[in-house]
Amino acid sequence: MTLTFNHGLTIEELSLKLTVLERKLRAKEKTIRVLIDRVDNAGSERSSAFWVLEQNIAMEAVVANRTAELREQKERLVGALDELKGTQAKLLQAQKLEAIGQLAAGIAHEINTPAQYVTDNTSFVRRALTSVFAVLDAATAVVEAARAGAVPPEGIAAVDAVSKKAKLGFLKQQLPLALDQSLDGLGRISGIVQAMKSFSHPSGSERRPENLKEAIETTVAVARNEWKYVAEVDLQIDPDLPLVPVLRNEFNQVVLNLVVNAAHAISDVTAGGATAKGLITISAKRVGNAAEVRITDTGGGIPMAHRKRVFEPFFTTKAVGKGTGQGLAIAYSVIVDKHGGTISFDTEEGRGTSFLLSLPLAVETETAAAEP
Amino acid sequence: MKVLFVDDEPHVLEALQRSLFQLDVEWEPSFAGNGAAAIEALEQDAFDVIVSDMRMPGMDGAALLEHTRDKYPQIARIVLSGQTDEIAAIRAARVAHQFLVKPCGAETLRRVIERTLELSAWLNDDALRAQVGKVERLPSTPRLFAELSKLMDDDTATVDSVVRVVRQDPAMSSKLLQVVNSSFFARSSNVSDVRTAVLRLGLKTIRNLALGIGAFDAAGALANSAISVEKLQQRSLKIARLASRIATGRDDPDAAFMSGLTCDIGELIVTDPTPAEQTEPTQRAITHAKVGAFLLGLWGLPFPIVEAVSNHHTPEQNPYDRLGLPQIVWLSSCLVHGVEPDPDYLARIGASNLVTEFQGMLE
Repeated sequence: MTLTFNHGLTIEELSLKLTVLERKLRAKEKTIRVLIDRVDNAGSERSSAFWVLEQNIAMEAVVANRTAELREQKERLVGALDELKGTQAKLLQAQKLEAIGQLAAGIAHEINTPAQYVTDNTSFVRRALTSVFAVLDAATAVVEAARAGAVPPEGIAAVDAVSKKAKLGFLKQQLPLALDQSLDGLGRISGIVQAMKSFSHPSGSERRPENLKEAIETTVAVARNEWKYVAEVDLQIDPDLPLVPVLRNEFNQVVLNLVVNAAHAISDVTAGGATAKGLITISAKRVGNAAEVRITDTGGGIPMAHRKRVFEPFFTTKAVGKGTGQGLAIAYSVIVDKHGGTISFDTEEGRGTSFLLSLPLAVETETAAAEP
Repeated sequence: MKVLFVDDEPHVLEALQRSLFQLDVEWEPSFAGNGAAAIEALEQDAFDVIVSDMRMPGMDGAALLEHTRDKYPQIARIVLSGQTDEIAAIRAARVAHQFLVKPCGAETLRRVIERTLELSAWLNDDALRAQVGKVERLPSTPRLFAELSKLMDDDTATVDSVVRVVRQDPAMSSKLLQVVNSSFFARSSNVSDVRTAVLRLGLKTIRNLALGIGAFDAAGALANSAISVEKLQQRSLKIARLASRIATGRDDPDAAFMSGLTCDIGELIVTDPTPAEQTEPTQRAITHAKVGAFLLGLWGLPFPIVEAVSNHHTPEQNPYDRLGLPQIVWLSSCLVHGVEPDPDYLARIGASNLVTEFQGMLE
């Protein structure tokens, strides 16, 4: 992935430009210092008032000139820095899009399954209605005949024939089921669409008090196709957990990354769910002035050699196409840098891994958060 | 006739069950909720068709269909999956004869199943059917296979260059048409020619097919020494070119080309020479035609091609006495083989005085 900016520069080109600008700035400073030195030295040798005046006027012009140049360069430097900040935000957004892209195929599968039975049931109901109306028409004819005074025997025979053909008993039993299951299917489809919408809805740049239970449930629903073949998910959210100030979008992304990692870890030790089903436990509770979210899997654990590197950007042990090594690096950046929280893990080879997120319940001010 | 449906979503099976009961199908559907239950059902009953979901907990659809292929090759294998990624679709094309995409209406499903069941009636020999059922891919001529592999490594390869190579090889052409006619890629119309197939699939998918999935293979260990894949390919290409020329202005030249190219693929499948030697040559040729058509039918190639292949030695089995696709392929095959076409039948289809003209079209 290559990010480009207004000037069409990539992040590498931008940082190169920054270095060049800094170097130029230092060079200018040096020129000024040399000039000042020269004036000082000159002053000691030739100290006629006129000469000093002449030098000063020349100096002033040079300094004014240099100052303007410096100001201009400083502005450019500030601009470049702003762009760099923007880049970081875009990187985060890009990883989110990537995660959603990976989920898209799973979500399509989640929608296509209920779509299959809703389609079948709807055509079933349509055909059933045709037969039911045929019975009704025949019966109405008999009623009309009775009202007129005499029911011809062939009228009754006709009702019997269409009723038999319609398999009325079967329809009576199946029609309500077909409709209930279709409604259930439509509910599942709108549920997943709703979760998707809520998951990706922009949450702004300020931390806002959020219901973590809702956020976690949404994320687990969005990722369902990633875990459902390999694991069960057990949610243990403490009902007393207060609202937690988070950037909801970023928090969702962290939970998503951890759930997908957990599913992959379990998949690796169960041959893709063929030998056994694993368990992903997600708990959240208040501990002192922080909310603790724990995501535990029954996968293979993290090997000793990898433990120090899990939060490094681009560090991955997954196959090409399955992960880019950004998931945990982003999680670290979101939890530690953006929320002033902590992220850590316990792991045991052969038993699984447990990630612990701790988020402060009170939003500290910008400066307080920046200082340790 | 028995059909086994496998899906891990009970609602899918229930909805299918009620739809099929209502449609009054003439075959008997059974249902299994997972791979293990399906395997049990397969052990207890003789099925003709299996329709399976792909993603299921425990044993997934691919593993189940592989098991079916190995133990019960005579059962036709159909995938009905909600997956939308292309890799999954072309991977399924290896173990399944056809790939259907959810949501798929019961009537479409019924049509596909009944067409598959009808095919079995064409090939009345269980042993032959089992032999065809095992086939995942056919051997290509080593020369064309190498040419295609080279193109696949070349990022600057064009559609034209790929079409030129694939179009000469019966095995690669029929595999490509299987994939493009699966409901995953198929839109409204069936595809009868390699150019449309390549354009619709795109070079990236063809790379995936060739390199990722290994859908094509050069004749080697696969080929029986009794037949030369190279000779068969060259002869088939001649028949294809002639058939397409004859069909120009009369029928669909693309379908004629494809039918001619694939009319003898049965020889690539049934390679055991012993029983063939015991039967008379004509009978053997007819059997080969039926075997090839059966495979193309299982793979979901357009029906006119399947029928033309099936009847290219027995055009009189086609209900119409005219110069249609089966007759064109029959005539082309006769002329390329240097066999005199039956004059009575030629007269019946009003083609007696055309043979000299057609002969002239042969290079």
